[in-house]
Parts: sequence; structure tokens; C-alpha cells
Amino acid sequence: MNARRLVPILVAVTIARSAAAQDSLAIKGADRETMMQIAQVVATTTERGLPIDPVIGDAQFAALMRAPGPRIVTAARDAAARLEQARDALAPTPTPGDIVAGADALKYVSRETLRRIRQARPDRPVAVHIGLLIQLVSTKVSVERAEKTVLELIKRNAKNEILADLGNAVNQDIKRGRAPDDALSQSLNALLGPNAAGTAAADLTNTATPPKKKP
Amino acid sequence: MRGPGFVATIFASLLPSLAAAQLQLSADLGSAALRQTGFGGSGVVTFGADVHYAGARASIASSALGVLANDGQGTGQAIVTGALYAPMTGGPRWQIAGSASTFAASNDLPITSAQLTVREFIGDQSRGVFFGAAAGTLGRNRERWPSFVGQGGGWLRVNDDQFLVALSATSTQLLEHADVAQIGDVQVADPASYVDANVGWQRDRAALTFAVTGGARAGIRGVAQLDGWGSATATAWLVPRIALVATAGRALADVVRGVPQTRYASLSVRVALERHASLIDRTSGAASGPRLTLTSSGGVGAPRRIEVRVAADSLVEIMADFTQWMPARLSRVGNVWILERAIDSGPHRIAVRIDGGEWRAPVNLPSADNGFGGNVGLITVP
Repeated sequence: MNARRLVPILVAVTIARSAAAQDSLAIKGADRETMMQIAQVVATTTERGLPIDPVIGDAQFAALMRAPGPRIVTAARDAAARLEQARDALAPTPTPGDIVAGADALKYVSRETLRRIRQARPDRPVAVHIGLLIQLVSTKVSVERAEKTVLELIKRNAKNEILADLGNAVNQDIKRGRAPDDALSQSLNALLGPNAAGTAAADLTNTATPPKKKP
Repeated sequence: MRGPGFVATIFASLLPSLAAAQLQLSADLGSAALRQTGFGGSGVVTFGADVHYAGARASIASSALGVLANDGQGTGQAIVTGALYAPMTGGPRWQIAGSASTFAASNDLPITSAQLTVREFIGDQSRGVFFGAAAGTLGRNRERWPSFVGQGGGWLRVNDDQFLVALSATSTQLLEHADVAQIGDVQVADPASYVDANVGWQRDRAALTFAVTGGARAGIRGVAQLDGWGSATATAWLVPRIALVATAGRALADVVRGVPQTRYASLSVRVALERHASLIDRTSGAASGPRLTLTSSGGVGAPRRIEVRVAADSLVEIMADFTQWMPARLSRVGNVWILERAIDSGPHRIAVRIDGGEWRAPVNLPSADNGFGGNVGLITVP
């Protein structure tokens, strides 16, 4: 048995061991040939120093959706390719979380967008910022507006909690009938602008609240 | 730097935030039963307008109200407020606000006031406290008196409900005036000081908003030893830009702005520039289905608590990239289904299954095509 044939088997064994350890890595529904091809993708991904969880996860999900073997393999290969592209775009020092987030984002945005995010925040993690970007674009906010918003929030050094809330708030507003870009403006203003709840509390100290509300 | 140049520099620095600002404009027309000190109108027509322009660092708000009785008598009042805020950094934010207001009744001289308020807000949209102080002036007929207010309070938001509390202490002059035969207008100002304690609750549920506020005033000097006020308001957005507003209540005199004590009950139609969720909007309101929230029980690396709120008989499961797309059962705690798990910061994909049904995206999260004819929810973990 030569080394080229040995690698996939070793990787498969690794996955199996990892699965046993984490009780969740077995790819149900994948036949032996599919499994071997996925193992090769995983081996290559490992050799390149990239995280393998998204590769296995996407293959797992495709299998769960009862996709045929070739499609499961394609899902794994696409994930691996995106991981590599994301690492390049987020160079020079992306964290594993950045790479995973960036790979997910490449389903929606270009590598140039990721590069600009990295340039705006060169030496700190950007996974949460990319998460917001994905949420915004998936709710039909324009890519340009979503990127501009993320870059602005980086500039303001916004807390991760605010970033995590913003995407959900925009989604809620859109479900209430607001246009996506308007919903983003509204939610952004609510988060970055005057604190509406705090202002309402402070207004209580004015026994003459705005006169429209009180004749 | 000379004064005008300094002012121009400040405004230039605010332009970027104002460019991204939100404009809200609305007008009300209605009918009210009104009993106001010094004004005998009972069945009156009311008309009001409200403009609010808010950016990240500045806001400008103005509102006005006119009241017209059958006998032609009326009152009018208006207030303009401008505020500057510290940059949003997630920490405390100061606010400097200036306001000017006027109140006038038929056949009477107007009362004008101006205030400068400095506040510190500590907290976020969900909860927080504030404290501050204001100094101002109150005037009528070429005489002016000072006013001073110390204030503090807090807010708490729980889902659609918002709870507010505020305490303020005021020291100023209480103005009284009368038209005396053969002498003309006579006005007297006596020292007045008091403490107001106020509470408020508001429920904002898509097309419907309910608000109840109330409070008590303890007089220290020049005003009643103990008095109270309260109001209730319901707003229903019939269509995206038109609402019906019903309100009733009792307001104590706003001594620092010269607005007299009032009892009122009114019904009005509000027309707004900005769209709102409305009763006829089929997409308005909370969509039915599982709602998923995530909280952290500690610092970096601490388990995250996943909560799903849904009507389920026996079983709620999630599957996500962080479960390697393997189903994970949640435990029932009261009306909420819970799972604690370590999850890395960043974007994640998640689906929920209720009582063994279809996997679906939580309704409160953005969703994405899963590539196989279904949807998954997208969540960003901070």
C-alpha cells in the first residue's frame, strides 16, 4: 500500500476517532466511496492548515438532506475552497474563527469585501463582524450598504453584543414590512443613536412631555 | 477660534452623523375633553405636530400643540430640543441638551422657558440608568426666574415591554398672574421646590402601542404637599402611516415651563411620514413559530444558553453547524426550552424541530436557503 492510498484511510480513521470523541462527526448516509473522497478533502484541508469542521459540517448537512454522494463531495470541496479563499482574503493573521466566518461569507460577498474588513481591523478577530455582514446580506440589505455598515461599526469599535443584536433587529423590522435598507438605517440609529429607552426614561422627568402627547 | 467658526466646526463634525439620520414626522388632529387651569374649554379641537431628526451624535426634536374651544378661546404650546451625544462606544454616554418652549393662552401673555440639561446614560437598549442636572430660565412679560433640576432614573426592556422610572428634584419660582381692573396684568413669582417620582410602562407590539405613566409630587415649598398624575395612551396603526390615538390623564403643572395643570381625554388621528407596522399589514406582528435567543452565562469560552420559545407538546430539538448537524434535545423549563453549549463567536447556522416535525429556521432570525429546498436560521454569536 503506497502513501497516497494510505492518507485517506488515516484521515478516515482520524474522523472516526474524532467522531467517537465528539459523538457527532460520523457522516451518516455517505457510502464508502463518498466517505473516501471526503476523507481526501479533509486530509488536504488539514495539510493546508485550515479548519476542517466546516468541511465535515457541510458534507454532514448534505448527507442529512439525502443528497447523492457526488453532491456531498462537492459540498465538502466547495467548503474547503472557500476556507482557503477566506484565509487569503483575511491575511495575514486570521484566527480559525475568522476563516470559518469568512468562508461562510463568501457565499454572499466577494473576497474584496473581506479584505476591506481585514484592513479596517488588521490585528483583531473579525468573525462577529463577518457574522453581521452575512445576516444583513441574507435579509436583502444591499452588499454595499452592509459592508459600509460593518466598516463603520469597526471604526466605532462597537461591542460584539451590539453587532450580534443588529442583524436580528434588522430582520425583525423587515418582517414588519420595512424595506431592508430602511430597516438597517432604523436599527442602526436605534443602536448607535440616542438611546430611545434611556431618553424615554429621562423624558419622564419633564412633567411637560412633548405637548402633542398631552394637551 | 472665534465663536462662529467654533460653531461651524461643531456642526461640520456632526454632518456625517446627521447624514445617516432618521427623520420622523407626524401630525395629529383630534377632539378632546379638557380641563386646564385658567382655561374653561371642555369640548375642544386639538392639533399637533411632531418632528424628530436623530443621528448617531445629535438629535433635534420639535413638537407643538394647539387647542381650540367652541368659544374661540385657545391655547398653544411648542418645544424645540437639540441634543448632542458622546460617540457610541458601548460604555456610558453623555448627553447635552438644550430646549426652548413656550405656552400661551388666548388674551394672555406667553410664558417662555429655556433649559440646558447634562445627562449621563449608562446601559444599552435593554437596561440602564441615567442621572443629570438641568439649569434654565422661565419668563413672562420681561421678567425671568431661574430653574434648577436634578434627576436620575432607569429603564428595563423585557421583550415587548419597557419599564421606566425617574426621580427629579426641582427648585424654581411658581408664577401666578391675573388681570386686575384698572391696574392691568399683575404677576407674582414665589419660590417653589418639589420632588417628582415617576414610573412608566410601554408595550410596543407591532401595530399597537400601549403606554401608562404616573407619578407623585411631594411639595417642599410653594406647591401642594402631595399630588399625583397619571396617563394612559393607546396607539393603533390602522395603515402604515395613519394611526388612531386615544389618551386620557391628569398632568401636574410643569412649573419650569409654565404649563398649567391639566385633565384631558382625547381621540385623534395621527398621520406619519415614517411607515409603521399596521393592522392591515399581513406581515406585521410577530410571526408564529419558534423564537430562538442566545445568552451567555459568563465570559469568553463560557457555555451559551440557547432558549427556544414555542408551543410544543413534548420535544424541541435544534441542529446547527456547532452540533455538526446532529439533533440536540432541549430541556423544558417552564414555557421555555433550553440547552447550554459552548459555541464559538461568529456566524452560525441553526434549525429547530418541534415535536418531530419539519426542521425550520427560527422565525426571529434572518434565514438562508440551505441549498436543499429548505431554510436555516442565521445567528451571530458575540
